[in-house]
Amino acid sequence: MSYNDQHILIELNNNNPKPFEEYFRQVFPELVKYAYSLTLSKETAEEIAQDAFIYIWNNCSKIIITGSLKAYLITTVKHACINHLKTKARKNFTKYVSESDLNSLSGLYYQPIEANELRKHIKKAIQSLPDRCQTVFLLSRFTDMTYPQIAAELDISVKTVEAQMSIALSRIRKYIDDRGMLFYCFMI
Amino acid sequence: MEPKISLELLISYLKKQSTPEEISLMQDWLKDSSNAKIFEHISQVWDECGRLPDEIEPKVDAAWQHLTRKHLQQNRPVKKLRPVWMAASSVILLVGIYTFVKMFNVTDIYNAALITAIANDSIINITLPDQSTVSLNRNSQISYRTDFKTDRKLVLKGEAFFEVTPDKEHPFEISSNQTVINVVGTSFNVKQKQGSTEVIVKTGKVTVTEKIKNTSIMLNMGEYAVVNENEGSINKTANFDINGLAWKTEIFEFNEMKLGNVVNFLTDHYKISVKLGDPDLNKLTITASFDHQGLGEVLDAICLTLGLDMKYSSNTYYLKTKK
Repeated sequence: MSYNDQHILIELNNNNPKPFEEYFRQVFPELVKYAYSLTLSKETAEEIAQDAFIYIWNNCSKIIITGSLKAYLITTVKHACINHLKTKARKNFTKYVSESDLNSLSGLYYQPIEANELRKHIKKAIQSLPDRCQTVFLLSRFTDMTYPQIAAELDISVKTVEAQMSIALSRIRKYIDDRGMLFYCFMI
Repeated sequence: MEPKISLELLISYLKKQSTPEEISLMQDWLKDSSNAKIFEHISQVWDECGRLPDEIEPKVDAAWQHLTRKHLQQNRPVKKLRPVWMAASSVILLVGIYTFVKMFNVTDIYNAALITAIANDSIINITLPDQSTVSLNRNSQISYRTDFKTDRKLVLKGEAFFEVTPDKEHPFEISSNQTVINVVGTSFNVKQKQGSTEVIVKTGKVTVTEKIKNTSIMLNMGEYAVVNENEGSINKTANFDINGLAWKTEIFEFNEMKLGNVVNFLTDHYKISVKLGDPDLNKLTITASFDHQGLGEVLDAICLTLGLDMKYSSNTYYLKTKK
């Protein structure tokens, strides 16, 4: 832990939250954005990021941080997001998408896309994915987790991860354009 | 023949997690123009998705205010007492009991009130009326009476390190489960467990007696004994285990200790879970000593020595083989 990180915790422990506040202002937006990439909900993302800071504040006297404070926060947020995704997937009993689901989609959302509109469409595309498929995709895209790690975390096989990823990518692609570029070459 | 590439490989390439072999495999695969097109399509999706978080702009001021409120709410009702205050408040409580006992003449039964010192989350240091000192480990307690100076008897639950002021006329006696320890002047550690009591003598001499068969044993400096209170036996070894005192001294060492035992020791010592990411790692042994070092430093040193990696996940540190 760097001197500055240590200083923040020590001062916090002495009831002086000033350095902690400065640090918060610096790092909070980035953490929210990170949580947002995994949850796609602004409210959830802000809550998760705040909870990570609250945890440090409430436990400043006893937490042991081996890396940097920021790495610690990112890890905390990442795990909270994974838990969020897992409970969400458990709540809704949506099955995995099948290939026939995929074919029925063709042509549906075609429209010329303005550059600044693109993001909204992509968000919509990801949100329209079945929960499991969405979870697999978000974890792969926005964390450092590998296929085997995602499979272990969600208790599914690596093959399922591969299949869901292929579906997710081709579906999102379809939102971006309608060239019907399906990645059947990757289908298992 | 073009090589077959899985989506997994392609994605780990996008995430820059590929091995050099995988990278060259990818590069071969990309030489084919239709493959390159597929790759372009996927990487486009990948990159566009990466821009998603840019659409939000968190409001930092509001968030900070919210955070402050939340923190206050969560911390107002139960203010954590510092050990000093804990000790102070228990003294006040005891004075209260003492006054009560005096007023109602219960003193006929007990000549003095009972004092109990309790250590919950942190180690506390106590000076007894005879100037002997006690370091009380977490989740431990000692009880003694207010006339301790003339009758040096106390009852221990849990673990404590004693430094006893010499006083030949008033032997110092500790009761723990079915074990009694008699001392003249010395320093030693007593650890009471379910069905057994362990004693480590750092300096001087102590007598350990178990009450079932009423056998006694003399322990000298550097000696260690375990009293088995179910069988009524005492086993003495001359091997002084420095790690037995680590909770008090913060000094410990591993002598060709198996990694499995090392992580168990660290978990117990730092009260933070440390595990082996792979049971095979238990084959490894380590020799090292540490003096007042934090868990982070210790784990770093172990990883560096054995060429391991460490990962923190759900409140646990995992030691892993380097990939």
